[in-house]
Amino acid sequence: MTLRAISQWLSRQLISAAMHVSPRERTEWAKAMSREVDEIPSAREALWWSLGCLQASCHERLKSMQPTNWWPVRWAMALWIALLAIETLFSAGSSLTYKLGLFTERFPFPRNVQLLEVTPLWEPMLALVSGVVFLLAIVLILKRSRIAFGAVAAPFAITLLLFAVRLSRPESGDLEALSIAYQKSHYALIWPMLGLAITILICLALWQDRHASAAR
Amino acid sequence: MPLVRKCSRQALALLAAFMEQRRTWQHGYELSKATGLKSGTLYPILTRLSDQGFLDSRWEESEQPGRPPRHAYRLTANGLALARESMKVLAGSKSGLRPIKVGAQ
Repeated sequence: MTLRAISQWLSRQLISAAMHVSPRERTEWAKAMSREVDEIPSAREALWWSLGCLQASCHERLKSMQPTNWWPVRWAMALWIALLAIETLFSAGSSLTYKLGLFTERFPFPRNVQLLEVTPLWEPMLALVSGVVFLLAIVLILKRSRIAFGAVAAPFAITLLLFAVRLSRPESGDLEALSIAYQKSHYALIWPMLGLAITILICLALWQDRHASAAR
Repeated sequence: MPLVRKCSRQALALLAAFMEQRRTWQHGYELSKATGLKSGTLYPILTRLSDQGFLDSRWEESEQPGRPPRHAYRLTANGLALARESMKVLAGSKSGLRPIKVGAQ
């Protein structure tokens, strides 16, 4: 078997792989790329061309693979946002209850909690709004709405801002708690960082989905 | 202007190649030769331009008998406007359009 024959065989295999990898909606383009191989006089050049075809097909395949197309991914995303909504609403609800002195007859809350005393009323109000928007985002994610990205990103940004504000208050003791946890184990911060990363990934996926649905 | 800013150097080279023979239907291999772009770079740009309505494509019988039809491409009216605009911007820029590789036309 000559080197030329090996090159031609390899080239055919690569083209066949490219056709196989290419997503269904790009079949015509994969065919178009493969047809050009017959017009290339040099076997070596044809081999490089075929390799490029495979690369282009892989590129198209990756582009067409949107995680939000799969319902288990959408449900998992919705579940995560539901957890965020519950956490945000619980935190906002307990702060508001304290600040407004609600339900004191049935639930005797402790008084003079330093952190809650210095927290202005607008903070739990904003957190409450964020929680409600998170709840709305669950529906929007499941319905694959284009505004799902905004409904997750906006309350997420507000939650981060409120967390930063709380962290800056010495009464919260959050910085010390984090510092102690970090001293005990360097891996202690993995969980909050992981939570942050998951939410950022969800935002990215929804952003990509938003652009893809605009192109559809 | 905003459209041109979004174009990569490779896409601009391709638009320049189309502008040189604006009325002719061109094939992928010829475009690759003219621009110096490899197939792995060329075809994603061609598909993108086609998706955005800047490029027309059709199947043409091969000049060589017995060979399968080939895909040919030509700029649409919108594509021509984009190419003209990008050429204007490039003419005004300091660097101009550098060839993708040595030997590219």
